[in-house]
Formats: sequence, C-alpha cells, structure tokens
Amino acid sequence: MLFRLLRQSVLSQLRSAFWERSLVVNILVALLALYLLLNFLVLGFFLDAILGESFPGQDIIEVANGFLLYTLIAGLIFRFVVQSFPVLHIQPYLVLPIRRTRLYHYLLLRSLFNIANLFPLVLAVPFAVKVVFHKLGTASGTAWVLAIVGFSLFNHYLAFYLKRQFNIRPLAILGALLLLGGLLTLDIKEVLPLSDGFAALMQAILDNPLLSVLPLLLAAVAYVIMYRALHYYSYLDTAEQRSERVESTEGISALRRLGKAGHFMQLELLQIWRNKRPKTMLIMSLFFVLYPFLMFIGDGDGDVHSSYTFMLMAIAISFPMINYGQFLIAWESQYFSLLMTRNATLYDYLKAKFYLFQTFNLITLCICLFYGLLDVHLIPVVIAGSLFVAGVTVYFVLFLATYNSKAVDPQKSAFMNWEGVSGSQFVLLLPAFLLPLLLYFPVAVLAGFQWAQLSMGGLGLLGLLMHQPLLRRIEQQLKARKHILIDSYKQ
Amino acid sequence: MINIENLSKQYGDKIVLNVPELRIEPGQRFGLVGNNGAGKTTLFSLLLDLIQPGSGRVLSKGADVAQSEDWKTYTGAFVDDSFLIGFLTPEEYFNFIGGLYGKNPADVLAFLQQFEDFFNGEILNSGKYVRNMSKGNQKKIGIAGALLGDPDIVILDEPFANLDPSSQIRLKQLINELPEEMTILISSHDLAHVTEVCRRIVLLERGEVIRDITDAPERTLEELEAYFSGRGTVEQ
Repeated sequence: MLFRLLRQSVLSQLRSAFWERSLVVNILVALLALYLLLNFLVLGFFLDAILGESFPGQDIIEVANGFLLYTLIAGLIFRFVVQSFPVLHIQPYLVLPIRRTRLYHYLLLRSLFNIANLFPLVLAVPFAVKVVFHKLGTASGTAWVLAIVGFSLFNHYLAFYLKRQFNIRPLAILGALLLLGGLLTLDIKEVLPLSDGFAALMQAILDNPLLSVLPLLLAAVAYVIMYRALHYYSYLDTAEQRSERVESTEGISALRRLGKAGHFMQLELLQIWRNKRPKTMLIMSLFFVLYPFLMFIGDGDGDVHSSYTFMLMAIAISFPMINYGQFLIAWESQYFSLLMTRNATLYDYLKAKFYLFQTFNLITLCICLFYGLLDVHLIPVVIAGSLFVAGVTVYFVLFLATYNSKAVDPQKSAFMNWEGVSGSQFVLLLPAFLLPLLLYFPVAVLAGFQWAQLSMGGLGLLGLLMHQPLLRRIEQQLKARKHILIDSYKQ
Repeated sequence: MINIENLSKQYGDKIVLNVPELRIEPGQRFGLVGNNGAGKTTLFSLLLDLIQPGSGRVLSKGADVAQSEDWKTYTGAFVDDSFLIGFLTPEEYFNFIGGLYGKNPADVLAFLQQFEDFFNGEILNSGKYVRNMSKGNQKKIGIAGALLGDPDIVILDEPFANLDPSSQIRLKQLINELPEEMTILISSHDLAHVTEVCRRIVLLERGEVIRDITDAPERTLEELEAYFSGRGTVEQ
C-alpha cells in the first residue's frame, strides 16, 4: 500500500507540467545540489586531515564530536530554509479504503527521500570508516554512525515540524529559531558549555555502543510529534468555513483615485491579507530588512561606502519586493482568466503591480532610514539604494515574474505547503540581487563612491521617469507569455 | 458581432477545433451543444483569447481579439472557477468587477436587484468568502459577475450545471428578460434548457460544426434528442 502511494507521488512528479516547462532550471538546481554533495563527500574524506592540521595534538574524534552540535544546528537551519517537504493532496484518498493514519505514515516516510538526507551521510561515513572504525573498533564505529543517523533523522523531522508550524504560527517558530541562535551564542562565548556536553554524550556512546539507541529514540520522538501534528491539523483546514461571518470591506478610498490600477491594487492587498502564504512571506521579508544591521553589528565599523554595503542595502530594501514578486502573477493564478478577460488592459494590470512594488519600497525605505542612526553616512547609501530598487530592480522582477508559470495556491499554505520556495526561484532571481553590485562596483573603483552612489540614484530616478515605456515593454512580454501562463495555471 | 474565420486548434496531432466560418449576429441567442470533448469550452476560450488559435482568427466587432483589447470593454464571461476570486466576499467580488466598468458600490447594488430571485437570499450579505460557498452559489456569482458592466456580448459555459432545479428555471427567466440587443452565447449539455433560451443552436462534434439550426426552433429539441440518442441522421 505504502509502496503504491509512493509510486503515485513519483508519477505525479513526473507528469507534472512543471517538469517540462522549467527543465533548465531543474537541471541547474540538480547540478548545484550534486556539486554541494560532492563537496561534502570530499570534505568527509579529508575531514581527519583537516581536523588534524587545525587542531594538532588533539584527538580528532574528540574534536569532531565537539563540532557535531554546530553541524547539526547548521543542518537544521539549512533544512528549514531549503529543504522542501512533501505535500499530499489528501482528499482524493480519503474516500478510498485507506486508513488516514497510513497516509500520514506514508507522508513521513516519503519525506525521507530527499537529497538533503544524503549530506550527513557523505560527511560522516568516510570519516567514520577512516578514523572511528580504525581507532575504536567496529562496535564503537557502528554506534557513532548510528548516532549521527539518529540525530540527522531527528533534525529531518524537527525541520518538517518547524516548517509546518511556521505556516500556522510564524512568530512562535521565529522566536524558537532566535532562541536557538541565542543558545549558540552563549555556547560560543563559553557561558553555557552546550557543545562540550554534547561531545561528552558522543564520547559516552563511543564508550558504550548500546547507548546509540538514544539518538534513534530521539528521532522516533520527532517522528511521533510530526505524526501527531499531521493528524491534528488535517482537520483544521476547514476551520474557516465554520468560523463566524466575515464582513465585506469598502476598500481604501485613496486607491480609487488611481483608477483601474487602484482596483487591482486593492484586490492584491486583500489577496495578501486574506491568504496565509503571501502574508507570512511578507512578514518574513521584513526581517531581512534588518539583515544589514546584524552585519554592521558583527563588523564593528565596516566601510559604509563599500560596494558590499551598497549591495546589502539594496538587497534589504528590495527583499520584500523580490520575495513577494517571484510569484507576482502566480499569486493570482486561480483567477487569472478573470483578470485577462474583464475590462482592463494588461498595462493597467502591470501598472497596479508597479504601484504595489513602489508601496513596498516606500515602506522599506522608511525603515531603512533608521540606519542613519547607526552612521549618518548610511543615509545616502539607503536613498541611492532605494531609488535604484524603485527604478531598476523593479522592472527586473516584473519581467522575470512572467516566467514563473507554476501556479501557486496562496491559501493552502496553512497546511504543509512550501511549494515553490526551494532552489529554483532563487536561480531566476539571482540577477535581481546581484545587479546592484555589478553596477556599483566598477563605478566605485573608477570614480569613487560618491559618483557610484550618485549614478545608482540617478539610474533609479531615470528608471522611474521612464516607467511608461518600460512598462509598455513588459506589457509586450506579458502579452507574449499570457497564453502560456493561463494554460499552466489550469494544470 | 462575432466573426470566426478559419479557426482551428490542435494539441499535438489531435485537432480539437476546426471551424472554417461562423458568424454570430448582434442580439443573437446562441446555444452551443455537444458531448464532452466536442470543443465547446475550447471555442469559448478562443473567443476570450484565453488560448492561442492554431490558425485563423476571431473578430469581435471587426477587431481581432488576439490583437486588440477593445473586446474586453463590452464582453462578460463566466467559463470556469478561474473567473471567481475565492478570498473575496460576493459583494467585494461584484464591486471589484463593477469598479473596472466605472460602477461604484451603489450602482453595483442597484444592478444586483434583478438577481434577487436567482440568488435566493444566499449570496448577498452571506458573510462568507466565495471560496467557502457551494458550487451552485459560486456559479450564480460567476453568472451575475459576467452580466455586470452592461456587456454587449455575454459568454456562459455550462451555466445550468450545478444549479438546483428552481435556480435553473430562474436563470432561464433571467436570460429571457435580458435586453434584446445583448448577444448571448451559452454552452450546455442540457438540451431542454438551452433550446428554451436560444434561438440558434450549433452542434459541435469532435471540433467541427455538424449542425447549425436557426430556422425551426420549435423542432430543435426533437432533432437534437434524436441526434444524441444516436438515431438521428447527420446532414449538413
């Protein structure tokens, strides 16, 4: 039974139109994953030599154990951000004579088939074979590998759980992650010897191989937690229908003055507000606006005029726009036909998106101006970056959004859905992130940072002034892509 | 009003639609019937420029729908769920569409008066999002939305499906009471309904027009039933 379900999920993957359409992107992502995997394999093979050289005179197994906690936490965060967990469209199966519980078990097993789960193995097994087996014998070696597998599985299901819960209680999970970061800081500052404790545990496992059941038990506990979460929340989907009546909004009167574009904007704001996924994505993006702040704290006083600073600022300012914008049209996949047939031109539609982006930019600009408190010289950087984003990056995102032909269900997010937020979109949007650096750097080197800032701001201003012809150009692009989008949104 | 010239559409080797010529006059009540896969939705989608024709073109008031966007100002349509916006309440949905035609909420409310019977008190002021409403009620919302904005051309794909019997009867009354100059295109599986509201019936089979009945509406139903039961002789 479980096997048959697995086979169906493989089929649904193979037969998905997504494959055919973005083959290149898929290959790129796969290559990137393979490359990383290879790196880890090589690292695993030479880990003993690297550790031996970096920590001469110490027992390398002890050193490795000391690093294990950090590696696992890094792994957890990596999984949380990058790994995608399976979604089961459970409804068609519910009427069939398959027990619900079986579906959950299937889903949990299915999630294991992910390349992310190979990383701990390729890192740990060569090291274990080369060093642990060799030095401490088969029993201890096996116990060590089992412990790593146990902790990795624990990580896997914990990440699954956190990601699911993140859709439901984003702030709580964010808080938990911050807490984890805090604990890590305490450990590094040697206030709280967590990693030493962890290393001691690993040592105990090596001394007494039977103890390796502990990590495996831990993994089992995480499995059970995730299982119960699935069980509990699989009924929650319908909660909205039972809840009390919703009131219609009259809309924002100021937007009406923008004509049809204003209407579209109003619709989009409601779209964000009433759907979980775009809402959490935007809230998350706002945290990225604080990213340069963390960098400055870390750096002491970094050079505020460097290209790097400019890039950071531009990314921070554009992050909400880029993050939301990667699905710009896909958000509306469910009613795209309506938008394409009623009384509004493609230009009106794009103009609304443009205004929406400028609203995002204005908000992030207001937040980022507070960086001026850190260093007054950051204010021109922020303003130049903001203009650049508003007048250059914006068109990039609008243009690239027409290539995202994968439908997104913005409502589903509350129930284990992270579709689309792994790898592939980032490949597409990389140019949007790197653009400011590529343009700023040469000017800064050749003419100095003042000129670089001035030209970036000027470029942005020019882009803003030219918005009409530029949007017309993107309108052509949308017109060319329109039928493809409508077709793939229907899949 | 609508001129179809050499229109065809194919997916791979399979030709799903091939209509050399079809004219729909202003004010015509045009019914499209045919079995599943006959190409009804494909034809409507081509009229709305939702899919690209393999060859030929659709002229609406003389302009190619794939080139000009003018047809959007006078065409209302409800083809499938992708014409509904799930996260809005019905009122918001109507106001959004009305807004695109320059109607303010008061205009929209006045317009919706004529749907009072059809809505049966379940649509307006229901306090629900469209996505949480029943299929039948969603259909009613879509149909009313298509008529909003005083269109010259209305395209409804399977409007009678999913409606309960009383709603079907009310919908027929509603369509018959619409302004005479309005061109209405309806597709349906239900021969009885479509012959009651349409003067002209076009029968599609495997993408081809095999019957175009305009002359004797009183015999239409009989003729169609004979055809679909497999007893009818098909002659052009």
